[in-house]
Amino acid sequence: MSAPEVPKQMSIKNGWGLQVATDPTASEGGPMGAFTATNAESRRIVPDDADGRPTYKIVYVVLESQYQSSMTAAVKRINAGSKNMAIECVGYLLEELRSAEGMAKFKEDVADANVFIGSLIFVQELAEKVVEVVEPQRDRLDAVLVFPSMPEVMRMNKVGQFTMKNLGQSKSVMGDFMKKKKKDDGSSFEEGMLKLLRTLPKVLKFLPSDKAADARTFMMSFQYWLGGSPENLESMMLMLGQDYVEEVKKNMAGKDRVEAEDPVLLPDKAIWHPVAPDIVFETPQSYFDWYNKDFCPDAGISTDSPVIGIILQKSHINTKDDTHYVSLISELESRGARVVCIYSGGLDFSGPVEEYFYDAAGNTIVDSVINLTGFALVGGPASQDHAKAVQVLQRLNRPYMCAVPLVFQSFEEWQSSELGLHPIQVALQVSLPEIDGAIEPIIYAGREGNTGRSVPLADRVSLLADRALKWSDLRIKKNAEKKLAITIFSFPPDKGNVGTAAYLDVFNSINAVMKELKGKGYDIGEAANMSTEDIIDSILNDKEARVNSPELNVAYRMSVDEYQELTPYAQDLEENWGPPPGNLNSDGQNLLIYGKEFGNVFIGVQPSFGYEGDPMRLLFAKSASPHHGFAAYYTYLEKIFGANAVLHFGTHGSLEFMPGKQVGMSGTCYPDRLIHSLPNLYYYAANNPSEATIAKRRSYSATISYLTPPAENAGLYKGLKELKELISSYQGLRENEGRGPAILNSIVSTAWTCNLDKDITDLPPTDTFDGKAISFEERDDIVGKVYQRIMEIESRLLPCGLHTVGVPPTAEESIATLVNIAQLDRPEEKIESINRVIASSVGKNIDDIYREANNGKLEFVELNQQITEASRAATRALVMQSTDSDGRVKEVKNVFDELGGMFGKMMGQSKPWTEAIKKAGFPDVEEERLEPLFKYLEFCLKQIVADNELGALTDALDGKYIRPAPGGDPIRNPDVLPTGGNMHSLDPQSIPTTAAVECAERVCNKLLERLQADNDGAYPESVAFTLWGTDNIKTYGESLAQVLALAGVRPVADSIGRVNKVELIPLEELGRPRIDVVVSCSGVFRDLFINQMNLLDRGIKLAAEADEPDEMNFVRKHAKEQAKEMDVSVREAACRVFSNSAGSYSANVGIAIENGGWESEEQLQNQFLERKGFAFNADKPGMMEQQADMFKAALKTVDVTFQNLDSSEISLTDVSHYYDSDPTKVVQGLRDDKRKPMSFMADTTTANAQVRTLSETVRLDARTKLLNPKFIEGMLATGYEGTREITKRLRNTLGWSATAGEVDNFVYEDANDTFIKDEEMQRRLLETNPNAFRDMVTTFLEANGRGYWDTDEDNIEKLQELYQEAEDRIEGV
Amino acid sequence: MRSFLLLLTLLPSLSSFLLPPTSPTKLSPLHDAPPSTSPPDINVADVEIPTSLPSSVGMDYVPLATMLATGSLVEADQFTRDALIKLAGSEEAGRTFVYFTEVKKIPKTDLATIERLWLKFSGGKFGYSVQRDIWNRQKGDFEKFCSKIGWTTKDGEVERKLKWFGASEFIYDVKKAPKGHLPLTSALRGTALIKQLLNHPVWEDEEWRKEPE
Repeated sequence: MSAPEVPKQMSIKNGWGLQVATDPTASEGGPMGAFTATNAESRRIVPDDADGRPTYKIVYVVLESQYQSSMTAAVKRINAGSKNMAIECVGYLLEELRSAEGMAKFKEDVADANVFIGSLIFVQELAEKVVEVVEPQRDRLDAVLVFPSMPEVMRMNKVGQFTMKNLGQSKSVMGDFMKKKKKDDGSSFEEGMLKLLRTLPKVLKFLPSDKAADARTFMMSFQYWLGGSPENLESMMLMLGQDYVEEVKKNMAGKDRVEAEDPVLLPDKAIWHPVAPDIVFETPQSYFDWYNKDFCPDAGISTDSPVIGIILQKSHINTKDDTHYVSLISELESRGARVVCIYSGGLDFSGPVEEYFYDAAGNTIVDSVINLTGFALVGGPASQDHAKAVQVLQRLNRPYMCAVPLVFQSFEEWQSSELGLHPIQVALQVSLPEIDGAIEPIIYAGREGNTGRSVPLADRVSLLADRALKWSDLRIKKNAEKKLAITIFSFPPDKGNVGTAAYLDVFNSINAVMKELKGKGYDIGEAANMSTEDIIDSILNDKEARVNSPELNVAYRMSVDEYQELTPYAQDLEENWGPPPGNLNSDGQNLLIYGKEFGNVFIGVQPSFGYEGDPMRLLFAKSASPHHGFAAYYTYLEKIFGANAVLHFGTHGSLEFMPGKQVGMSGTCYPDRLIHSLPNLYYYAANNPSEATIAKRRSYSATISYLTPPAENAGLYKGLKELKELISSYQGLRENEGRGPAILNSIVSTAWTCNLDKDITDLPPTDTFDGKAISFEERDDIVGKVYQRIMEIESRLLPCGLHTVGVPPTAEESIATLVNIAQLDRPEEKIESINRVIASSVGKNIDDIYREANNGKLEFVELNQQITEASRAATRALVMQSTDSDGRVKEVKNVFDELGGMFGKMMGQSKPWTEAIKKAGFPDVEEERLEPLFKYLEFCLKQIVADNELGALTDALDGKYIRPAPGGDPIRNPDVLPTGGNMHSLDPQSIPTTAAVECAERVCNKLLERLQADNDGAYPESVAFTLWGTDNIKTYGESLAQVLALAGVRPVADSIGRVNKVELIPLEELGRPRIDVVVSCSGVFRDLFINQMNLLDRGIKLAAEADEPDEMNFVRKHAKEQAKEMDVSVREAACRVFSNSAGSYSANVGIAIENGGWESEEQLQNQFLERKGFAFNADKPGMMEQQADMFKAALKTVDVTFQNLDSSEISLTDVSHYYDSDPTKVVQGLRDDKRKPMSFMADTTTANAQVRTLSETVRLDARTKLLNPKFIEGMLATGYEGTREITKRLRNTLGWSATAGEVDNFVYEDANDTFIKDEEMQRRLLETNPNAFRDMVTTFLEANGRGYWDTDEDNIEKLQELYQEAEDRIEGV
Repeated sequence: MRSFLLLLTLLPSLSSFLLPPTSPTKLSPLHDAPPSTSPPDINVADVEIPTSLPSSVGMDYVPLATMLATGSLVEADQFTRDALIKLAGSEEAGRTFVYFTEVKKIPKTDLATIERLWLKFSGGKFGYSVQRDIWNRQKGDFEKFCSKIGWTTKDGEVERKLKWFGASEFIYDVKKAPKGHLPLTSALRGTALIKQLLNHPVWEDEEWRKEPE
């Protein structure tokens, strides 16, 4: 065999299309898992007739199936043509090893194999299985070839004397290389391998030892493998046989050796086209010479038509498994578009993008880009360099779609799966590309079960082509001609709620958008001269009609005929809704589209789900469909109005929650049918990345994040304010034996009127208390506890008012956010919190201060307060430097670079913030220690005030790339800012992080301490958790880590840093019993983190199966009991991870409460159990099984329910989610003793993390929001929408009464005083939004009627009167 | 070379693209093709095979006529796809499939000859013109078209395309097959090909129906 030279460039045509051939063999055997119904038997080839030749056996395992046909063809060629050997060959798809049967067969096959080949084994748990089987056989095997894979698999490589056994450890050439590369990002590792491949043959020539020959064989084999064609693989197998397999070697003794052909390789990157003559193109010029001069004129494609850039994977071109690529190309070209299809040999596609998507002058030549590889742009499945990808895509500046080929599933498997795309693929090929800013994860190809080849899905490919062209249209069309459909929401469906969106002043924002569009040349018709009020009125009719008319403005009446003609799936809706038009969005004859056209902009109101008041539908909403009116709305946008794009306005609507698969829509999924070909933009709150992700995946939205309103400290009011003043007086006069006790008496009685007795259990009774009678220390103790409580309220952050798109916060408004950013230690950035630095200037540790203050030690409460004030003053000093006369931050002054600053320092003058801290009573604070923090704060300030919300919209409408950005809490992760980014979730395999695990342990310890304190030192046996998607994104998995921590399980990262293993913490180390857990995951969590559900389930099963005494392992204890009761194995009984069924979201308790359409609490509880009782099972991943009995059995033993609050702006009563999924009363109903479980909330929103009871948290929330004048006034400043927001808080409070019974009577009573008894307030509410006010009155009456609020008759009578008044007002009487 | 042709033709369904093996022992490319599912129901002796089978490029359509006349529909179907590859010039370009842009190169005369044979021997049930009518009635919706002509089947809830490789699920039976079921055109490389074929200029008027002298 000759040493390979630099690989020949080969024609892809030279006849080898012919040779890519296999024999279709019908697969045998039933399904082997939820997803992988194929099995390796379809890949087994046994020689028909070895004819005396020695036969050797090859077993291969691959991630993707495109090698199957080439391998099969190659083996058949050898068996038919070789004189020296025959081959038996069997191949496994990695995913097939998940099943016990698959593993057993694999083991059996490897046991008598001669050669093992593996490639792209990047799934940790499966990599372990491969090692488990192959490692014991390694010495016996004649050769083991593992191409890029997890290091532990790579280490099994063995070709003669060449090994990688010491990969990452030794000083061998390869080892060093791998080690060095491992430190770099994944892409350069891959690229490096390729580079090595090209140069190594030359190097090896100078190493004339056997070892070098073996190494050369390995590298040659890798080249053959990368070449992928049957000839290449044939050469590889011939070479391996004659040089390494004993039998074959013996047989060939004395005979001529077969000269294996040199590997034939395509260039590493090039432009490809299915009908190009002979060769791929290595320069754009050579491609366009052919494309523009020959192909396009012949095909009738004009040179000025849109150009779609397409990114392909080389292995599919090598193996000619390319029909799915050809399919998309032909769909595009047949629509008159031009294409530039590029590929890369490695997993870094950025190189060819940079090289081929630009003209000589450096201008982008493509109008939109579709990545068909399904991989992240840089790094593929191994490890990614998102920063590099974003940089490349930002320069390219075009919409970047990443479509997904089914890898582990056949078309039928995907089609019949409710989950849709395989979870591993979601993690690798949806989540990761999103971080690059990819949009529209449309499945476009499936795997043909028999042959493993990729086949296109015609309707999906067609949709993909349509969508790519519509994005290109946005680039090409003039603004004056573009039509935009702005869609607003109405939740719950009621006129008072039109224009609902979290934290957003929708109509003012729309007005801002309209004016921006006008400036960019769009035709906005009469809206150019309209105020926000005018716009509202024209949609809700005029100001009087808004009160009088029961209907919104009708933009279009669609006849039933027209509707049916234009809506291909209209008939499918009849099953649920009867024949059109039905009675929703209908006048009985026509379907009604609500909204109004302004020039080329249509503002429309998205119809409701339609089943809000229907308990049965709420229960089974998943099997429902949108109603005719809903479908008609989107038909109108696409086909009658003819929108070029739709903009969904604010968080969030219902399109993306329509029934269908979880991820990877099919043509029968409703979100897909509804949005169809329309480019979809979505303004989404920056703090809600999880639901934004649902919108991105299910309704193909490109999101544009907007800021939540600036947070302020809640402050104090009324009695609380008085208390603060009394405490100040007390501090001044505490040593005055006359005044001190007197003030204390006032403090105690005021605390009672403020209902603080609920929070301070040992608050002395006011009637008998006398401060004189107790000691000095005891007095301080009481004051300390009260002080601590009111400071807790005072410093609470609350988002004030509503955000308007494009309006950055003022300087003043930025301060509270910055103060909170400053409070967190950021060890990974080497930043100490401001509180820590200040505390240490007085020789204290901030953690001690927090602890003592929490215990109500007056001295520490006071010190903590001083530190807080000093930190506020310091932050204010920083902000003031950059504030202009309007109070806005214009340009952040970089004080560190300023010459003046330098000069000042030389003069011994300290920075303004240091001065502020000194002035606030901490003269010894160290300026140098503050410096890293303040540099960081300065950066954050820049981010807060930078604004690209309008800019990102107009860019997107120009067909440009939207910069991706993480979503979450700007305080924890300032990278969330600036807004105007296309939000993404995080790499699901990256959580929980080490920091999150540590934090989770701290919170769990706090919880257990608190519970032990309340229960004579006893541990709880079982804790029910609710896990949220956003919560886990923001905290990098803290709450899921809490679950593991309680059960005494530790997550373990694999060798490339992904968390996908768990291990038990030994009991000795844990030092307490394992606590049982019941995990209720939100539907969104299930969508985003199904791999983590797998982790949880495996962890819990580990605990259940650990051979430990019951009193030290409550998981096992309960599982054993259940196993006995239900007659199942302990493993099966250890079923603790639940969620909705696939494609279904929430318990719908929230919707029931929002519209009052529920009869008894029992109904709500049953709804919760029915909807949330679907179990995840790691032994059968990929499906959610209805297991309501298991769910009930697990909940029955629960002593404690527990949730997390992760950020200040979404608290208990801000949204319906928290109570929607709270199982407190459900557990009570299920427990044998009918005792209500204790309910706790962890609050990690501040540096001083807390675990509080649910009722404490509800009180805290009510005091900071619903009852707080600062909050109320902030809301009312936005009028119509503000009134609705206040009502919503009250409604959500009622939700807590219904699901947990943890709302104190005084909350309703005080709310009634604030909103109803206060005549002026009541009038304001009624006038700004009569519908919302009526809802508020209804809520009060409901609270009373359902027994949650006990009050006097006068109040009720007054409410009844007001109800009538509001009703009359609305009806226009 | 012939085997080459027959292998990579316009494959009939989305479900698979698999080529029979190229081992020298298997000379007939039809070796692996699914057998006709019903015996020929026409007695050859009773059937008149047209003698005038015009081609503007010298293609011999007697084999096709014979296959159709004897009810060898599998072979006739394969012959038809192979013929298109030659007629469209794809073979000459070194390719084993017709790209949609090449359809216009298929001569009217030849397409008309092929079509008349299919119509004649299927009693008007099979043929591109039959498919064209159905296509137009479905407003060019490929998915609906497929279910109309029986290229899809239902596995429980899931509607999927028929499989062609392995044991072919297509119905090579004039009586049992739905109208328009044959000939098969592959959508494996996109639906543009069949769209072009059904919109070939030959169908614009009724000229093609005229039997040649």
